[in-house]
Amino acid sequence: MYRKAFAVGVGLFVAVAAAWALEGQLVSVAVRSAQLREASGHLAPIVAQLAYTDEVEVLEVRGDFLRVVSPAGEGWLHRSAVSEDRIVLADDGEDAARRADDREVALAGRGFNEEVEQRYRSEQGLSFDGVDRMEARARDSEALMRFIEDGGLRVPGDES
Amino acid sequence: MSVRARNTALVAVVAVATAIVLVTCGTITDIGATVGEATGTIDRRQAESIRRTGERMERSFEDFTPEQEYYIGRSVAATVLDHYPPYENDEVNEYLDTIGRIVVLASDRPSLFADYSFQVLDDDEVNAFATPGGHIFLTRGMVRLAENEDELAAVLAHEVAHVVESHGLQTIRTSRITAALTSAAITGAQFATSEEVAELTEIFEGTIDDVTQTLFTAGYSRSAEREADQGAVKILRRAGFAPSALASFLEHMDERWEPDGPGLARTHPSPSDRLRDVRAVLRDDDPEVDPRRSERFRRIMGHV
Repeated sequence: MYRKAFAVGVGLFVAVAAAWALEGQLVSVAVRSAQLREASGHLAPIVAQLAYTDEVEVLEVRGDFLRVVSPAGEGWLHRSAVSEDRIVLADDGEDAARRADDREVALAGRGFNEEVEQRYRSEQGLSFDGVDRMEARARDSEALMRFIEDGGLRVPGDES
Repeated sequence: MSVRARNTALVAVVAVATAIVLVTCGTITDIGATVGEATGTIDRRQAESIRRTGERMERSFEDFTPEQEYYIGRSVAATVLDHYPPYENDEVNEYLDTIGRIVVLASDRPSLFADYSFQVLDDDEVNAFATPGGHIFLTRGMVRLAENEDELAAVLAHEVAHVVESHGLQTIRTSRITAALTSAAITGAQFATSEEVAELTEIFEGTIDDVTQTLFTAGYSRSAEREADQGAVKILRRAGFAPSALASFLEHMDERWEPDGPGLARTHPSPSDRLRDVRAVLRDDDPEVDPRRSERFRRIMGHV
């Protein structure tokens, strides 16, 4: 009984400490494009768009969502859309070799990228048409919300 | 001189010679590269690559950027589509995509570099694949095995869990990851030269081979499959799907299971083993299958 309570206490402490540690921190957008939303939910209205490598400051942590501020505006993001390691463009004047050695800095656009894919594609004679088509499938947020509602489903973390 | 004395002398000579070489050349890696280059067993570029790699610590799959994960995923997806043609039916693919999106939003990693994407494959074999970039495929054979929307969601949740846990990336050989992440194409100060891109493409090819081999023949480890099943139960529960649908789907699979058969039988533990672990984490207050969902499933997926 006491052991269980102790474990829960430690878990809670770690969770609170982790959330607290993130507040005030600068983090990098780790996805190609991210939507800043009005509230802490996946389907809340979009207030601004962010791009890969954009830096944002974390103001508040609520569950898996972060309230952040950036030059594009202020809003909410899911924590999986950002990285605590800095992601920077490789060719902005600083020494790329030194940065590549720094485990806390990731270089955007370097390594396995579009250029490598192009070369691989022509060497293998592989078609990417099907991949492009599935990635480009049109999506409609309102239809998704109706589908969720009609099926008695829910989107976790959504207050909207 | 006795044999022992002669051996001792030999060891001493080798030790002194090694010490001299070490002082002259620097590191063991350097010596290997220099000797290899001198004896003609490796060329200058390979020697340079060995030196570079030796200078840096071993890297792990976690050091790949989300962008690199995406490009690995795209090429794995192209390889899947090279083996299995896509099933061309917009209504079916859009329905799968919608269920997939709900599953993704209930996962621990709803954001990838590019969004998750979903596609039915035109093949009777019972199979499903996920790439590190979030491309998820289900064969028509797999779709036909599902009896309702919740079972379809269960299969998708299992595949999404593989992506969330980076199981695909974990099958890439460490030596390849280290080579990729310390290559001159990444660490060079300017844009990569075509020679450097060629070298990196070779590593990329090996990387794609590692992942596709796992998907098509070797399979993930038993513990990775268990982790994906447990992850799927959590996702289903959060989204309001019935977690028991994973168990009922495994039952259908078990009924048709041929241990030496093609597809999933080659790459997955037997459904009965997985069923035991899944049943152990189901709860009495879990959501149940909703007839409204089953109805739309029958309407759209009934003729696949």
